[in-house]
Amino acid sequence: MRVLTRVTVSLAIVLAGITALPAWRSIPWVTSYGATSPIAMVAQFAAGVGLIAAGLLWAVDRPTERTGLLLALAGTAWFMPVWTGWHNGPAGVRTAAMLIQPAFLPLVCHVVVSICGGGKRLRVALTLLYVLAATLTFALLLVTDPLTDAGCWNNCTENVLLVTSQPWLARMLAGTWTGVSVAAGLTLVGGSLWRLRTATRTARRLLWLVIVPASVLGVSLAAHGIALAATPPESPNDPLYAAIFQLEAWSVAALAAGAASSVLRARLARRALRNLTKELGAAPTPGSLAPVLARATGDPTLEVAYWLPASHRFVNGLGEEVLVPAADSRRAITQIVRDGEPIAVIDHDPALVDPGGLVQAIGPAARVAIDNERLQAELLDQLAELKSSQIRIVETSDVERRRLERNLHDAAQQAVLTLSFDIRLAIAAAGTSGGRDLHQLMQRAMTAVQDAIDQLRQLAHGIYPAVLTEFGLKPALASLADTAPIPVEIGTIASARLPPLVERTAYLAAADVIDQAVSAGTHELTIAAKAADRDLVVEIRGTDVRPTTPISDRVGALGGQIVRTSGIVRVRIPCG
Amino acid sequence: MRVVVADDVMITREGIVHLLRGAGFDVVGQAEDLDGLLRAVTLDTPDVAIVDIRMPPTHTDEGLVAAYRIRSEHPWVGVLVLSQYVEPAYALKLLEEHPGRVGYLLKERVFDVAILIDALRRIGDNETVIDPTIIARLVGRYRRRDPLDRLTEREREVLGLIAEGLSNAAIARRLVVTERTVQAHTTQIFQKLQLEANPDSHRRVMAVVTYLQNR
Repeated sequence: MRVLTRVTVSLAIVLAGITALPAWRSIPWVTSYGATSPIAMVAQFAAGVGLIAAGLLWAVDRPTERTGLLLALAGTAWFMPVWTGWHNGPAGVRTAAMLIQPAFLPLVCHVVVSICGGGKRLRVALTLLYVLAATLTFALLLVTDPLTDAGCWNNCTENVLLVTSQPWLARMLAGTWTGVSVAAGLTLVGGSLWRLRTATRTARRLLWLVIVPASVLGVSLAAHGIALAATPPESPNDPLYAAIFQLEAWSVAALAAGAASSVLRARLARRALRNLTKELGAAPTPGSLAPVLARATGDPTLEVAYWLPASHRFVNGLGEEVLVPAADSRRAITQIVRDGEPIAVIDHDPALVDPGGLVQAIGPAARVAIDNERLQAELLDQLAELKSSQIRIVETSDVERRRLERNLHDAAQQAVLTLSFDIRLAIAAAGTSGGRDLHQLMQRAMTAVQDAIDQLRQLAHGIYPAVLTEFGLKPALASLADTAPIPVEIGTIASARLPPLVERTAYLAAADVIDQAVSAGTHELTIAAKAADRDLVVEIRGTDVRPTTPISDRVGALGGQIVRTSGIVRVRIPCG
Repeated sequence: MRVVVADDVMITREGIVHLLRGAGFDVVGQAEDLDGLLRAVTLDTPDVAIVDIRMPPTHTDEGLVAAYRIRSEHPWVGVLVLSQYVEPAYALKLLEEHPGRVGYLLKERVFDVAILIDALRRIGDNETVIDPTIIARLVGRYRRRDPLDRLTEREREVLGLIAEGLSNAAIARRLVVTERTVQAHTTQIFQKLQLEANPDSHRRVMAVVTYLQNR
């Protein structure tokens, strides 16, 4: 492909040169639209040179793509009428120009399809157009003798390919080609407008510079054919034909400019990428690569997802798991591969020009930024995983506590209750007959049973306070205050129910701080629990003891924090 | 008195039934879950239903749900809730949602036949019953500026009995004093605590319990 590119480039430069030379020096000796007026000449040159220049740009920038070659060839074909109209030029050259000239139509259509994309049907139509252009032109040259044609204007020369002059057949073949070019022109208009209509916003912004001139070109091509059919013969001095030529030439020039601009835009994007490291700074904040890329490429929908081989999933720059959509007509996926391993994907609009070049530009330029970002994403992801596993551990322990509490109530306590019933029956049965010793023994047993019940109850409550689950924080904290060995005043308590995990953590933290404070010799406490932002803040005034490790761990697992200042312990718990 | 007993543990249920029958009560139905209880109340028209607070399916507060349903669908049927929890919140919930003819006793009380019979009688007499352990906890709680310090020893005792749901007559019997004396104490207590004296037994209990919980 590289060789092909160099050949293309040199060929285009040479062709442009030799085309420009006779056309420039020989205005008086050339019969062409360009020769009718200075402005027409400018138009003719702008279009042809523009196409060739755009082709060069593409060929240099995208050596692997065919668009550059197509642009250069279209530009070359565009100049062919100049050669055809070379007064007294060699008949062979003029005939060759006549043969190549119609290739402009399929070539320019091919350029548009190549830049804007098109479906399978469009490609079939394009192939058909190439075949028709080649066969019709060749057949026409076999049977047409311009010298005997009354309507000849720029090709009034000897046709070296002529086999037999068949004016009727020639007219039919020429008419057919006119029909084909009208159809092609209308297809170009329709196709362009349809593409513009169905394109995503990003695609529209990137492609309109090509699509709009292409549709104007389509109009001019169709108009030219219709004019040929309606008001023959063709003449550059006829204002209608001259106007159609101007429209055609300027739309081709605009098309060439549009094609060149999409390359330039991509180059600018890549330059922006090269400055990425600078822009991201020495320590980029997480998730800053995607916005910079989006800005550089002009695709605001662009997202970057990093592949984490350890956990087999994609995360964004913030470490959040993302599902990378399948590439389809609406999204395209470009992989960033390093050492054969995919490290990230860019999920972008399919209209984004040259994503491959983009990735290449990213590779060396923003290596540090992308590595940083990926590492950060991985860390953030691990952190999130760690957090959720901590929460799961806390939740599991709560489930276990609840199960224990139920067992104590429903099995152990029940058994002791039954025992107390039996003792009472025994007391009743013994009545007065059993003597005092037996009676006292029974009473002692009864007291022991009541003690056991009380202790079981306290144990169960300590393990898991059912009142918290059923009635919420306020009655649960009130219950703590009821049983505390020092005065505990209950201040404002958020009355809305909160996630169970938050309520349990708040309750356990309060209970723990009360215990610690009592051990530390505190005389009285005040507890309040208020909602602040999206957190619950439990405030215990009257102490600054350090809560025990299980409580700090529990609060930490929920992403909360404990702040101790003089006389106040504040426990902040995010509510999810 | 016709009684229905609901408890999912058979031994407890049978024990209660045995005690009640022995004391001359007419046990007209037994149930082991919420639906069975509601059916029994509808079919057997008891005067009082004895309900375990924890029953299938969730073993949380089915008893309170049952109490609510019974009190709203069969207002003439009293409900005695048996609970494991020494929590004023449960008792208050019962008082708030089911005016009158309700009781909240700790489960271990039911095998003390005197207490059980007393509770059933009082509920039958339109009174409210709150377990003394809960009231003792509320009265005995540590307070920074204890408003109960303003009460005399006797007045504190009376306050506790009021909170348990006893009427003035019942308090008089318990303390072996005249009802007039109890009346005087009550007036003093309500004045000192700045509580609104309410002749209705149920409202009086609620006012006192709420006061005790929030001070």
